[in-house]
Amino acid sequence: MEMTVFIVLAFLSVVSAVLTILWRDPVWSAFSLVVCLLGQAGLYVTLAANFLAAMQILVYAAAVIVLFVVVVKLLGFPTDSAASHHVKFVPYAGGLVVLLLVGKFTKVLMAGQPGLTSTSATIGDDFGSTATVGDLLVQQFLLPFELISLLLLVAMVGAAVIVRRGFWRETP
Amino acid sequence: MSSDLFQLLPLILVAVTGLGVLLTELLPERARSAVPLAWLTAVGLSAGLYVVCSLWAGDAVSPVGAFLSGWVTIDGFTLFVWGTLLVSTMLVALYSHGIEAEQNLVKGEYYGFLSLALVGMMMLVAAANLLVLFLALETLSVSLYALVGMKRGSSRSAEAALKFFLNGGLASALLLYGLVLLWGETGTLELAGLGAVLAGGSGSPLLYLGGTLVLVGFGFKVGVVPFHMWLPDVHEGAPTTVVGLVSGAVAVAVFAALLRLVYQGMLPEVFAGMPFSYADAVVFVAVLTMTVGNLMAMHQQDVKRMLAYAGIAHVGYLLTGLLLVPPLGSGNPGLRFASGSVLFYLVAQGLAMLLAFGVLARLPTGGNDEGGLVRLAGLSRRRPGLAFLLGLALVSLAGFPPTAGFFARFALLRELTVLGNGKLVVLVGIAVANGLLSAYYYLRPVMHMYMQDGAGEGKELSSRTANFALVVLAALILVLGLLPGRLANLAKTASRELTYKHAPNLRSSGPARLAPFANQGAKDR
Repeated sequence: MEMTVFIVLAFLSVVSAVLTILWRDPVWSAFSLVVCLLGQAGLYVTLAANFLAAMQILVYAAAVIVLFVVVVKLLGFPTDSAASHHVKFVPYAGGLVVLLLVGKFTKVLMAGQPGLTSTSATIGDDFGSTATVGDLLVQQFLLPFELISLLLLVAMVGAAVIVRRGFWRETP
Repeated sequence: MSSDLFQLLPLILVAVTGLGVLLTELLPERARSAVPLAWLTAVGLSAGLYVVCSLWAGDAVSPVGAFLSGWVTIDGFTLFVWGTLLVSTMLVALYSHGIEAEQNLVKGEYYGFLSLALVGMMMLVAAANLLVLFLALETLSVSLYALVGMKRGSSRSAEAALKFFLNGGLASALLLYGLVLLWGETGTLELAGLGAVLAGGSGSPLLYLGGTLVLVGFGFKVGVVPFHMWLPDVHEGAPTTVVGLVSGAVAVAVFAALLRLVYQGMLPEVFAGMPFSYADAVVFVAVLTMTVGNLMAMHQQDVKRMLAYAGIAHVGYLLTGLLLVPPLGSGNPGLRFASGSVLFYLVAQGLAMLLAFGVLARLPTGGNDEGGLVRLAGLSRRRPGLAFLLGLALVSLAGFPPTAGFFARFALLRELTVLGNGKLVVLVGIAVANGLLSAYYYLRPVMHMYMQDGAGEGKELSSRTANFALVVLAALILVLGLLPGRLANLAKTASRELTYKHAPNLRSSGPARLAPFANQGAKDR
């Protein structure tokens, strides 16, 4: 049962991820991305990380995607771009690389690497709950947590500087 | 907890400085222009430097407390690099004085981001955990994207920022994927744990893939040759003072983090059992990097682009330092690296790059930021001081006495020669030949400055603060060239801490796998 759920969700995620980069129309890409992110949220649920799954849906599948679609509609990308005509060899090269990688990984998996054996661990009832995650964030992971807050601040202020009104006016 | 916080104090002081400078933007217009942001930044950073010095003088070797353990390592190596980075960034802040108006930078954010980028650099060097390592690298990169694109109304600055952002994003993605694979295979995010697992176990394809991706990610960030394409463009378009920070301080920080990954995280071990060894890979990439960097630098007409390729060539020389990896199982780990030549080289190259870009930032931009050699013509007559300083920086980069650059390259190549091994003799030969080759393009700007006439299109900027910073840099380069002993000793102590501290990991590792150097331990004593 668990395996079936995993395979369905993994298949959904991978196929929609591939579709995300294959669609010509950015809106379709965005919606494929939604499916991909929802599939990942499902995977989190199977791993008992309920809080993470909820966050995934709230933040990525909802907020970020809405932002994407708004930006795409604001910028108005042409659906049929002329730029893609002279790079016809790219799909073939990409396909070759993917085939090589798949071959290599299959070989690795068939050889049965020691690190790839499945292990099972028992987890407590409150694993992945909001309270546990919160405790971890402000106790064990306090330093990375603070570092992330600094990183987000830098990103926010940096973006604000660059898109400031009048920033792009050419000066003599 | 209190000692924990004291060990983190330099970092906290720098972060507070950066945030405080950002907040000055909220002051009313008149008060805002009265605040000397360059000096404010310098004062904040010197407070950090003071704490670093007292940590060094105190029990720098004491392990970090429970709060920090497993996240950061505050050892002699960290403190040495922290000191270097603090001094470099302080001097960048000082020589930016008066430039922000001319280059149309956003003032408060410019100085604030200098400090915030420094927080990223310092965290990167101290990181003892892959999670912290990645976050620090991102903090640094995001600050730099903003700094590079901060020139208001300049499309070239924007172009540089976009190229930097796309390449940096790709590099971060590769690095992150590699870190995840390493984590998945070893089950630990801590560098010490990773080192123990890697040194103890046999290699596996996934470790190999992960380790290679991490190395490629770092290769992008420091500008190792197949991944160097973005560097010249960023150098050309970014504000010149920011370029000084990128090639004078950021290069030092990222390379120091790479050293920590190699010597503490035992990353070379991922090559165990692979068809080509770690040493082969490093030699190949180092030779490629220094040769391509030098050959490309010869063709550049733009001084900033030329220095970008020169910086790539220097990364090539520095990469040879990764060969001084401890001979495993010899019981005398890191003997050659512990001589500190790599750290000395990093400092010397960083100072020279800072000075070169500091002088270039003083030159008039002539409207569309042309950094051509023509701009330098006749500089010795217009501003003899600036011409002399730029000449000194270039001479140091070229590795001539009596500058720090000469001693640095001499010490590094000496270590490689002593290491023996026929392959390395060839490597040293190639490095020396490359050094001679580089004299051509380093001396070309000097020739333009001293032997050609030119009126120059505008007036060079003048600022007492900036002149002070430039003179300090020049004095450091000369003093380190004439009396290198003091810093060499500090570098030695720092390198020892990085290698010997993790000796238990090495000793338990059984037979040596880095075959070329396996028999060196005994000979060296």
